[in-house]
Amino acid sequence: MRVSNRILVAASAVLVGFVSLSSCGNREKKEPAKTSLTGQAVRPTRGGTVYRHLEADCRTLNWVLYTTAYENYVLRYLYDRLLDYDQNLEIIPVLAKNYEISKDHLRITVTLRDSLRWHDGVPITAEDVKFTVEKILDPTVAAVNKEGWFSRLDRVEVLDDLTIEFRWKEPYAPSLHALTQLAPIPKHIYGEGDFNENPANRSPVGSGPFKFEEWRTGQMISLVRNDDYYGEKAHLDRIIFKVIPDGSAALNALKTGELDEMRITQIQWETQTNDPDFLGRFDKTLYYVPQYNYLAWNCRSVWFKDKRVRRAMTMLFDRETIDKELYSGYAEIVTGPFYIKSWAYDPSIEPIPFDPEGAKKLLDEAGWIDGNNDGVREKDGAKFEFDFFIISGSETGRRYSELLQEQCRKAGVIVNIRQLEGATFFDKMFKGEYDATALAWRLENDPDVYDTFHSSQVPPIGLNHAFYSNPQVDSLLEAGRLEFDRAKRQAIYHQVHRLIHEDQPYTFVNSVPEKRPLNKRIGNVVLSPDGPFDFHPGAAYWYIKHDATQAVK
Amino acid sequence: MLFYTLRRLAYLIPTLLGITIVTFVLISLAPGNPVDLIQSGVMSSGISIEGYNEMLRLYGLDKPILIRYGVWLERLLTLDFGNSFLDHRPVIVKIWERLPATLILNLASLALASLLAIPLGLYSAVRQYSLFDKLGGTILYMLYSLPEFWVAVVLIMVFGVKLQALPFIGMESVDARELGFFPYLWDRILHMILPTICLTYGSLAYLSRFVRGSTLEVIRQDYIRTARAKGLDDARVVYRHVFKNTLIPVLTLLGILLPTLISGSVILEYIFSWPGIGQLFFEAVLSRDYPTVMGLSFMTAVMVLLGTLVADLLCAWADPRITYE
Repeated sequence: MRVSNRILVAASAVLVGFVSLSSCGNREKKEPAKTSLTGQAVRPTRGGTVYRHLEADCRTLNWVLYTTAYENYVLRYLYDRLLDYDQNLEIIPVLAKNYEISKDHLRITVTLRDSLRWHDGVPITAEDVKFTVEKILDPTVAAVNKEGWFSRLDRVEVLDDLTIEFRWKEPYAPSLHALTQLAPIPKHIYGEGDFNENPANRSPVGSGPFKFEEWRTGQMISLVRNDDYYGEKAHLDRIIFKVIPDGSAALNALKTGELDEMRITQIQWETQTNDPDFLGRFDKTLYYVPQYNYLAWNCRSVWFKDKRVRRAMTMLFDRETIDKELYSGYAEIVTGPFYIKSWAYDPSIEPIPFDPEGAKKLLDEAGWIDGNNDGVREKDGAKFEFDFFIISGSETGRRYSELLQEQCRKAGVIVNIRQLEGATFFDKMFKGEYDATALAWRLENDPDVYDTFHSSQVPPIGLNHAFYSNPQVDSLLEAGRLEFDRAKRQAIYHQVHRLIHEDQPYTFVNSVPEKRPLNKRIGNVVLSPDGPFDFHPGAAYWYIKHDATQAVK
Repeated sequence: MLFYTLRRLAYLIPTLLGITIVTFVLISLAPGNPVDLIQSGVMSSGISIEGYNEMLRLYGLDKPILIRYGVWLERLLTLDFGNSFLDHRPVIVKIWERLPATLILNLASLALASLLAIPLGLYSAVRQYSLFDKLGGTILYMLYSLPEFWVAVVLIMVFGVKLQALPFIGMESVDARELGFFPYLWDRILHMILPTICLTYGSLAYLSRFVRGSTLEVIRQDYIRTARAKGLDDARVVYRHVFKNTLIPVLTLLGILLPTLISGSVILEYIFSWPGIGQLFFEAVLSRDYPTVMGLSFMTAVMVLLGTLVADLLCAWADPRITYE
């Protein structure tokens, strides 16, 4: 069984856009608010509603079944996890009071906090945790994005009402990370009837600082404060999520006060959100989430089986110009498959520079020579002419491929850009039926990249769609899964980084920041490296500032 | 007439079968299946081959296409459209909860368009080549050629953002339901204004030119000349003789427009965050949610066929020269 820990995202202007910890000047202003979280400085006021944006309606609010980022926005308020990442992306216990890893790394014993209760008042017990894991692993339950984390689990044992033991089949370093991906759901609600069609999927009973109130399909979802929460109570009365699929409509809604926050595009960031009125009312935050853009080279194709050719391709791809033209200099060039600010990423590796002349030399060396002077290189009777697949409508994909096409043409390589509709595109990706493409990976907080670079994981089984194979990387990736010591694990992944950079199965392009204006009436905004939401406690302790005069509809 | 109606209804069955077979095959043959999409397009695709096949079985996608069609058809006999692949809810429920939003918008638009188009068309025809006819025609053609999404954006910028006079997000304010009946009704009406305008102006142009054309045809008929020769005044000729006969082709057109009532406008629903059928259909097609796509297609097909039938029957009712005996 393979582990799913990454999200493949089409390189489109809408879907792509994120990287590491960094933020614009507004961050300093938030420092005082941050201290209020610890009870000093400003005392947050109780009450009020924050209006958040959903780019698409949720499909389900069942924590086991959810698959989209939007659903996670909502579920973050409704459910607490056993363990979670804090704002510095370190693992902390949440529903768990504490946890213990056995010496052989095969058992993790988790003790729940005392007197935890579901939103309907029923106590949360170890049975609920066991039930949730069983549902995740149940073949009739479509828990696609969680199943992988628990597939190495031998079994879950309930030791007493509040103690659970997770027994693993083999030592598995990401196992603690797996527990950060586990929010128990109530057995007494979901235990009966068809799990997939349970009515509670649309009216969840959770464990978090907010309770579900109402869901109007295609319109809005509202949550109210949980006054019986075990931890510090939230300040806001309500969180209302509004479904606004169109980005321009959403920006207009933000400007008229109908939304307090939204993710905006590069163009909106640069041209539609810089008037004094907007800057007076909103903090424009910018942060890098674990994601990177890349060009993939099919290492089984006649052209890209030679790493010198792949390196030449990287030298022909002008990442600096891409950054200037598409991202106004906000993007950061990446050199390897890890989140750039994580401990696994080796910042000492220098990116391969843009160097068309060097690329030509490498192509000559690799035996691709224009013998008949028709402007196109050949080798063994094969022309250097390949298809570059992009998703139709992806502006990023289009610009990337055109830039590559232009430089390649000058170097005697023909690139045919083919636009494919999304479903067709992914179908080809996962069967490995392509020459080259532009894509993006969304990463998890654990650096295990076995799925994407181990030679056993090639299509149609796995996600190694570049058909990359390097025995040395293979054994390092295997070792990385068995090593629990942070420093030793770091050394392993730094080596992986260096080797993959050497082989260039991908041209690692960049990490693009996510941009999100937040209404200044909101206090207590904390930015973790990957933004204000996806950590504990995330946006749960936002409040409306006293002096806020913004009228909200 | 009854016999005719029954026969026409009987013809619906093979036609519907044909339509559903073609739709089913087309959507199934489109590359990418829902299991791939749920995993890769949106989240991760990292499940094992066994897991993958399990998912296919879960959705019944491991069987050949004809068997799947058979299963779908069998369920349809009991009016069961199956469950959506996306959220496992019955397709009929998903359609049902979105139908009112689309219906109310389309009804308002159709009513508005008819109310304006019929007098406009009639007057333009009676005063053919007058300033009103020429100017009106030009303006209507200009409107007709303006793209909906552009008009929508302009209207939102002006009335929604600059003047802040009209809402442009969704069909009601979040807290409107707590306000009492009349304020709630008023809130709903305000939310409808911009989308209704966008949905109407195009069909207004089309309908009024259609009415004008059919009126012109009627005006040239012998019986109108006879009516005038009898010495009837203009008003009587127009309202009693011209207008009634003009309505025959218009009725046919309205019958044909009937199915558009339930098929939402994808673009406008998207721009105005209107929770209707159009958005549902769009999402279903993109994510290869076969049951939802089939449910919606079937419903639209039924409406188209019924609409045509109703139009024919209305014609017979309005025009005594037409019988179906």
